[in-house]
Amino acid sequence: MKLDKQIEDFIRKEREVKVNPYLATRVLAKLEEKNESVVLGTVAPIWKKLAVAASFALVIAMGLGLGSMVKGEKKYIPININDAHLENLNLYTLTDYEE
Amino acid sequence: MPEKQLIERILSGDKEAFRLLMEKYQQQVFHVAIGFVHSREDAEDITQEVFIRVYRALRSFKEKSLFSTWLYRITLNTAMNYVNKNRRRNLLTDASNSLMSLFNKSNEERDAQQKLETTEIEKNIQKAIDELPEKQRKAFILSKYEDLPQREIAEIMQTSEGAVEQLLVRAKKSLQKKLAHIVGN
Repeated sequence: MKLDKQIEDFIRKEREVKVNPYLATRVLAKLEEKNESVVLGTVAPIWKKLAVAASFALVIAMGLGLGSMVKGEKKYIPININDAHLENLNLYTLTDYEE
Repeated sequence: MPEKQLIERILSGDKEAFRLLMEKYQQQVFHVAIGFVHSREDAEDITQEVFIRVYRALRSFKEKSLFSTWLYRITLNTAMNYVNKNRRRNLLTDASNSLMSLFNKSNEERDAQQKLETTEIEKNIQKAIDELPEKQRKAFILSKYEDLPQREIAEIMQTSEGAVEQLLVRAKKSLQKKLAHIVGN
């Protein structure tokens, strides 16, 4: 119990210490010094957004344009398969050859 | 002025609103900070750092929790970072010097011998608190320096009320064990 009281007393003493009344001013001065703003830098200006959107549109349009310029000639190559060239599967399936 | 309105004003660039917010919460932040460092100067440095962080991160505050809960979380992180960064410094010597100067007024009334003993006891208590494991220390400081209920501590530490209760019980036992020799004297 005595120990609890001593701990409580220690904490109470520390809690009695008051913060510097000019702390808020100090913080604001620090922020001013660094020229920080909670507003600046978080929202991009409208012209930046428009520039990004325009560049995307331009790239897509160029891609479509280049793609449509290609005139492909489709060549159909007939595939002739000569059955005689195929391997005779009977060699593997007939049991007579196993002996 | 309601807190929500205050935050909206800060977000629209009103620095006076930020001053009001600081004045509203600075003592709470300072109490928690002093619980970690036991020195006025260090606690003020932490408090200043906390509010600079709050200002920079205010836009990311989504009001999923209370503003005070969010603020206490930032305070705990900042204080722990500060403590870890300054670990090399002889905190004990610094803090005892600061305590001597802080409590000079009340000590004036005591005789020199009692003054010495008190400081020795305070040093031991401070060391015992500082040596608590991180989670126990956080829970203990929020509970004892800010009188926060376990439910709120649980929310700040993002854990359950039961876990906080356990942390506080363990912290108390640990302090009793470490400081048993004081009672013996």
